[in-house]
Amino acid sequence: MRSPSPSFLVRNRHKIAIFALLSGASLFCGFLFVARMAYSDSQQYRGLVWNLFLAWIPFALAYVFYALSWKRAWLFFSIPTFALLWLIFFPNAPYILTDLQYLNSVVTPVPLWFDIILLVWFSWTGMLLGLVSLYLMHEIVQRNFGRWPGWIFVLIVSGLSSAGIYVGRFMRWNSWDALENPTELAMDILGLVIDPSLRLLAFTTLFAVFFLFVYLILYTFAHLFHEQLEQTSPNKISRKPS
Amino acid sequence: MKILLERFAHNKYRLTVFGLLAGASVICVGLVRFRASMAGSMDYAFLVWNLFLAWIPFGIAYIIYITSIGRRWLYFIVPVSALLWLIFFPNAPYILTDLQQLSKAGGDVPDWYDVILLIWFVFTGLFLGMVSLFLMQEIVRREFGRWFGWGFVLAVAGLTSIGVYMGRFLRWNSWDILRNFSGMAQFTLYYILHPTDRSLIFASLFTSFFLFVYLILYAFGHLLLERRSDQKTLEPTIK
Repeated sequence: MRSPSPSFLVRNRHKIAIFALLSGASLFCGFLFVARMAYSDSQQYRGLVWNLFLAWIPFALAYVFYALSWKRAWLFFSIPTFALLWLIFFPNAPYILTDLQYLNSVVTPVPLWFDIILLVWFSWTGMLLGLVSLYLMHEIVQRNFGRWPGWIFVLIVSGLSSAGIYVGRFMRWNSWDALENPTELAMDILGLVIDPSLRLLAFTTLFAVFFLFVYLILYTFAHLFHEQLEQTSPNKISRKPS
Repeated sequence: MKILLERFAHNKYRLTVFGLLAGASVICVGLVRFRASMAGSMDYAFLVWNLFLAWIPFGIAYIIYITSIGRRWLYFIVPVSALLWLIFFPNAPYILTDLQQLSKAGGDVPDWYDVILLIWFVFTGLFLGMVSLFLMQEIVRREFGRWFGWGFVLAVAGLTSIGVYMGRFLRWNSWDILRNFSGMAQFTLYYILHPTDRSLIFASLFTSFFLFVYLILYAFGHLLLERRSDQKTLEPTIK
């Protein structure tokens, strides 16, 4: 029998910590942007704030989904809708990384190092939002369908989101368009699929591999802790092939 | 053979981290080579050097981590190697500041390629740093306790930012500490006594960024443990 359950806060403290850290980081990003605006009187990088907001959408979706999915009855009802919505908004999170190219084109009185720190803050916050939300989705799929479907899901998502970033960066579509104007977007994407350019292939491959690498590192790093615990605690935790 | 396999299973994730980072470094070098063959210029070759430097603290931490299991060795090795580690550590996050080269590089290579190239380097370098910091924190925690471990992380984050600042703006590098110690010490002392706005802002922004990424990784790592206890308590109700 299980021991009297500790309070909700203690039990979920790491989930809450992640949420708080990401919110704090987002606030800090906003603060950096405002400081830059006050200093230079220019609205440069306003797009970043919007992109960061968009990056929160898949995170929030995954979070809600993760909380809901414990109840089995809800599951079959919510999975298709949620997963699709999530997938539509997901590329916004890693998309922020490509904003780094703006470093090329900025002429303002603000020193370059400040812009770099600003962009680094924004891009890492966005990327980590995306990775955590992917992890939550990975968990959900793994729990319900098993280990290999979980990893296949991750593979597909990294491929699709790289393609999504390409569509956003070079063809200037955004997530709303998928809801607002799906047919035209579908036609455009179909055109790409039928006749892919070298740029599309190179960009998508490089980005997908990169995304997978970062996800795998994070995943393995997380398992390091488990390995650690296993080796230091005298009565070993049973190793479950889950 | 069986023992070897068992050992492998036991250290699976440690080895995977190592393998992933090594693979990523190979890809990074490949991207630079490919760029060189395409553009005919050796822009970004210095990134390879910086990445190599970022491997040094990782290698040191890895070795300390493995050897420190034998207690007798510990007091002998830790001080020397920890110092070495600290000297080389700032090279890992330093790669982040190489992003500024984006605004300078020329050639007929498209922007997006350079962006991806730099992102690869930056993430590999920073993760090398994060993993090695984690290993060091574990060693400190094991020997001196939990709070010392976190104190260590805080101290390293602060010192690293100063190190990155010195590397980026004052153009010192890790070798200089070994080669020209007194000159560097005097210089550093002068800067500590007369801090500029730039150094204060840079160091505090960088420290907070570094801590944020580390804490996220740390909390993320514990999610997994939480999930396992979730499963234990909830399993009867779902299965």
